[in-house]
Amino acid sequence: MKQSFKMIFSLCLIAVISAVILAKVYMITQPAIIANEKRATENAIYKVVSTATSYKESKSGQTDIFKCYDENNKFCGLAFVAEGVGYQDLIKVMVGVSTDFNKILAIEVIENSETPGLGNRIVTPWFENQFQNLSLQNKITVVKVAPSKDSEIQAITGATISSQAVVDIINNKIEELKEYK
Amino acid sequence: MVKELILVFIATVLVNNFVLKYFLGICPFLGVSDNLSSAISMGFATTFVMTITAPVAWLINNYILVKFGLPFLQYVCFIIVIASLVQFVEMVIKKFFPLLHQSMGIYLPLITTNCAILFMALQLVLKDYSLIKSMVFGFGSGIGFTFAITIMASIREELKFQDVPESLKGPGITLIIAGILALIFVGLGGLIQVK
Amino acid sequence: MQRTNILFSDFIKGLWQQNPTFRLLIGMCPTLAVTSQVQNGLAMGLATAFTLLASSIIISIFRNFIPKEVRIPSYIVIIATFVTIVSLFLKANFPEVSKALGPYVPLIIVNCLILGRQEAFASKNPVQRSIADALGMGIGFTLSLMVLASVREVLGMGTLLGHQVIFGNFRPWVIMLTPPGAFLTLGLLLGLINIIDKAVKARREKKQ
Repeated sequence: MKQSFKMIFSLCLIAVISAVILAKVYMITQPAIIANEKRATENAIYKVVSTATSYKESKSGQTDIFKCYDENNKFCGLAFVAEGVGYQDLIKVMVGVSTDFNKILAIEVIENSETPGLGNRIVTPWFENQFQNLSLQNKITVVKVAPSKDSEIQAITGATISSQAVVDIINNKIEELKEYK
Repeated sequence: MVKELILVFIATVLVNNFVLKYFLGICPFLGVSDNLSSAISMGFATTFVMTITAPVAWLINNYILVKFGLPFLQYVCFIIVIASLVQFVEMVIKKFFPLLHQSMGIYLPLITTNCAILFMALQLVLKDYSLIKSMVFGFGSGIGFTFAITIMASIREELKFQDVPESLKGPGITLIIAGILALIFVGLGGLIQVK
Repeated sequence: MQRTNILFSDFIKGLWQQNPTFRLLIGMCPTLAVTSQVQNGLAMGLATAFTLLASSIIISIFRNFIPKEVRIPSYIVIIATFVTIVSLFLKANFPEVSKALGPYVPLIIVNCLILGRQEAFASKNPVQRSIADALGMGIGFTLSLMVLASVREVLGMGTLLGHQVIFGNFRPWVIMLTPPGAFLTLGLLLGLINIIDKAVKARREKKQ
């Protein structure tokens, strides 16, 4: 009996000490962790809406929308995160659109686990820059040759699925947001 | 609904195989795969524990950790759950299925340190799966592990009659074969896309 | 004098003779998973080494107070606590590293290396020796990760620690960055180390 008591007591003691220490460490590190996430999002926002110097957070349905203002405090664009499944796993894209939702200002792929050297070239400037000033009058489409229309982009050779996934993710999000507008 | 669950199952076994894609459960994979029957026993024991761990982890996370705002206790809680479940399963099998315990009982304690279980529990929380989806995911990952270790064991049994270079005998050649198997499974990538 | 010798041998064995990855063959999961880049291998190695050192110290100090029957669960909780601390620390101070190591950080808890050393050594030896053993194993582990990662990064991307090292028309072997590449590289490295080890032993015997 004394033996069992000793066992249970020491286990509980260890568990309690552990919980207390972890709670403390958690409280200390939380501010930094939240700040890091915020900074990452902010960097992406300022990258896709290049004239923005400040932004205001709002919501459209389930999505966080960032209304961007330039240095004269004029409304200069919108930024939002679009996500979906790529070839391997989740892909997250920060999309910047013009104030009238007529064209894309720029995009930045913020998260992906695509195949290194192939699919994950969706983060290269070559791919991302294609989306600059892309017209949103029609759905964006992917072609395998040099684009001829202003709503086309060229796929990465050997990574058609990843390229298409990015386009689908953006198209779907735009559709969703247009409904709420 | 059912279709989605079937897809999750197939995806977990083939496309996102825990051993050949995520490098989980490598220690037993290398250690227990030289004999086909022990490999299958290890596989089943692991699958059994994983299938029970999934819903338990889900319940603990959603009804205790999240409710009381204790996300930082996730790792500690889950590993305690896994260790206790393994202990519990071993006791149950020893009492009610003594024959089964004789054949696969020794593998049970090793399952606690199988990274696959902890990874599976943390994934279903990270991806916010429903309870049913979690159970399918847990079962699927166990089957995926069993699948990989069984293939490896069958190959290694054949290898016993081959001329393996001295320096590569044992873990060396096993890893090289694992590499070739992984290569085959890469071909299944993109077959099913699960959120 | 003898004391230092013992401590030294406790330490040095983790680097080669009982190198966790290449000789003891434990802790393989993170070894294969995060070694596509040297930077990640180094980070994982250090995180594991820290956890090993911290838990060895605690367990060694309290080795006579933890009842034998509950020692495994106790060790696991202690290890899990330190891993949580490491994980939170990384998320707060090195977010890119934390993202790169991703879901493999919590797997340090079940890294057979750590539990194995507690069971085999720290629970039976005084603090100083446990520290030496933990340091040796931790550094040995980190070095082996970096060796594997160097091969994979140089052949897979042409860089080392992010700096270009192969120039000209070298088309990187992308396969090195994928799971098959990891398995193959480790398998071949193991073979190589066995050959080296045998050659060294043979030469030693010849001298005698």
